[in-house]
Amino acid sequence: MSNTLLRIDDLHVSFRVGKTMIHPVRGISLHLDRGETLALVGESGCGKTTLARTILGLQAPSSGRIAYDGNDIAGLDRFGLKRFRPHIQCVFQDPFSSLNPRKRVEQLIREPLDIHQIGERSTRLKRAHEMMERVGLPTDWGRRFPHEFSGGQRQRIGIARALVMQPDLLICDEPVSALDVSIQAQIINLLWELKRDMGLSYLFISHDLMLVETFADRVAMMYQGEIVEIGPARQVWSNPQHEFTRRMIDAIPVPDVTRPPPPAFRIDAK
Amino acid sequence: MANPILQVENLQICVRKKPGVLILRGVSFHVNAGETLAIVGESGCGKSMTSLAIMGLLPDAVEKLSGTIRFKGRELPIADNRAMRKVRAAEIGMVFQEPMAALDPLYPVGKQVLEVIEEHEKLPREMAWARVIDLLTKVDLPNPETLAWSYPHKLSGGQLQRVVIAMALACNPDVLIADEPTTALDVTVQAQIMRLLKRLQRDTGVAIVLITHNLGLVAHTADRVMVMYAGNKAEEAPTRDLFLSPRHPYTRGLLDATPNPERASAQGGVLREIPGTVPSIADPMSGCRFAPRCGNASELCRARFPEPTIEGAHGYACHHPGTDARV
Repeated sequence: MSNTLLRIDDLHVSFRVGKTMIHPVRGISLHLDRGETLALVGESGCGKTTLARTILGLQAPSSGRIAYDGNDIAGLDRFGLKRFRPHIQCVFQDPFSSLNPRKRVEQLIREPLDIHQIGERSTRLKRAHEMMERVGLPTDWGRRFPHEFSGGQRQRIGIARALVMQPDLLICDEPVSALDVSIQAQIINLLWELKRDMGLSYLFISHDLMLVETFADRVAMMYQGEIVEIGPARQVWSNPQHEFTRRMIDAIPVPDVTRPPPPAFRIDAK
Repeated sequence: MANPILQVENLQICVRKKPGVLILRGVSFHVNAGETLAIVGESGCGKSMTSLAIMGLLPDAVEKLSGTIRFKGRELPIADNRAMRKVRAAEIGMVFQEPMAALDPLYPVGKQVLEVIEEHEKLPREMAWARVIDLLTKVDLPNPETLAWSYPHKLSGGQLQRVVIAMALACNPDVLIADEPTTALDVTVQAQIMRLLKRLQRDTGVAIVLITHNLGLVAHTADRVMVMYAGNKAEEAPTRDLFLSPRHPYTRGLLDATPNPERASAQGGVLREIPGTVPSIADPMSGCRFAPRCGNASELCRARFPEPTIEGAHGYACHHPGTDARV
């Protein structure tokens, strides 16, 4: 068992929108070790979500290799994908649209087990309840519907649903950007505990460099479909090398009144 | 510089016909001419409701229960839509969170700016149009003559927000309410928009009410801050005081929960969280509404809502305010 869980080599993704071809991912190579949190940071439209969708097999790459635990997954067919999917799960950005409003919470969390026919019916429900407890939801709320939960609680449901499959890799696509600051901290801390206790690896997609600096081991800065800088989170923050990273950091308002406003906030800046 | 241009006193807003279900539970504050007041809080705290009330744009499902809103000393007739039409944009401008939703997709953006001017001023069409071009130039849009004829879908989010700002400032209002003006934008564009707002403020003297949940924005753009929690004012202070010596535990919690790479990370997790969730507006609790989430809460907190304490420019509503300074 090698220490590299995910390795991507020269990945390209392109598709047609109307009459024009677009290339949201332009030759990306990266690797993610077991137990590591790699953050993928970029502005809207930089291709970070397309990259995540390609890793999940929701979007076909036009060229390149995605190796998961040494096996190429870029060219898998329907059946191969289904066998592979339990290993990588995903938590989505919007806790409102990612949960079917007509299903009860325990059903939603159990559903992946049903689809992959893991365990007996009765043990599946038991596992769903265990997962609810694990993410901080009372099990007697299992009969409720998603609309009865707040945004933060819904994101806990989404996390429980992803982790019930006992994946190795969790892809989190902006999991806290729809949440309030105090709730965002709860979810980040929950993800951090789960990672520690369950030995997970995270690919954490975010536009918030300040947030991932506190949470990720390494950060990859993505700009126009390419990774322009990658390195330890602390180092990218304190000693950015690429022009794009510097420009972004210069625009981030750090909540600290003792330091001068970031350069991009000064009225006389150009 | 005690020259309040906008004064809100004991504003209470409830769900229509249900005076027990309060969205704003008696909020008072003022805005001085030319300053930036930030209103900070999380979803459901009432910050957007406050701004909609000032504009006379409260949704049909809610109504004002009590309180007054004064602009330049006279009370705003917020329930009278016809009277408020003369106030909106002309005296108090507003910038919304979603620029795409604030503009009509079926009209060129220049026409939409023109509409604001023609609503309030009798000007020959050419002069009004010249003003539109001038406004689009002032908000730093490239090629304003061409851009004025573009439809909203042709513009980026940042450009659209500039158009909305041009509309809000078209008739030189004295107050600009900006409700999460940069939340939908990328961080580099956010900086451009905030810089634009500050520059326009310097040039025109407009007072800005910045509604946001982003404490970083507040730290670098606001003169004073009001923190709201569950329909109440929790704390109000000059920006520096609020960040360096917050008194209300909720303010402290918010500051601690905000990621800050320049500060050592918290113990027992990566961020210091505020446990629990905001109480429902229908919850008839009599004490402090933050008490169930507060580490300092006592019997007193659960029994009685704390009266506001005022120390100079700094005010807070808490029975057990924190005193140690934060560094």
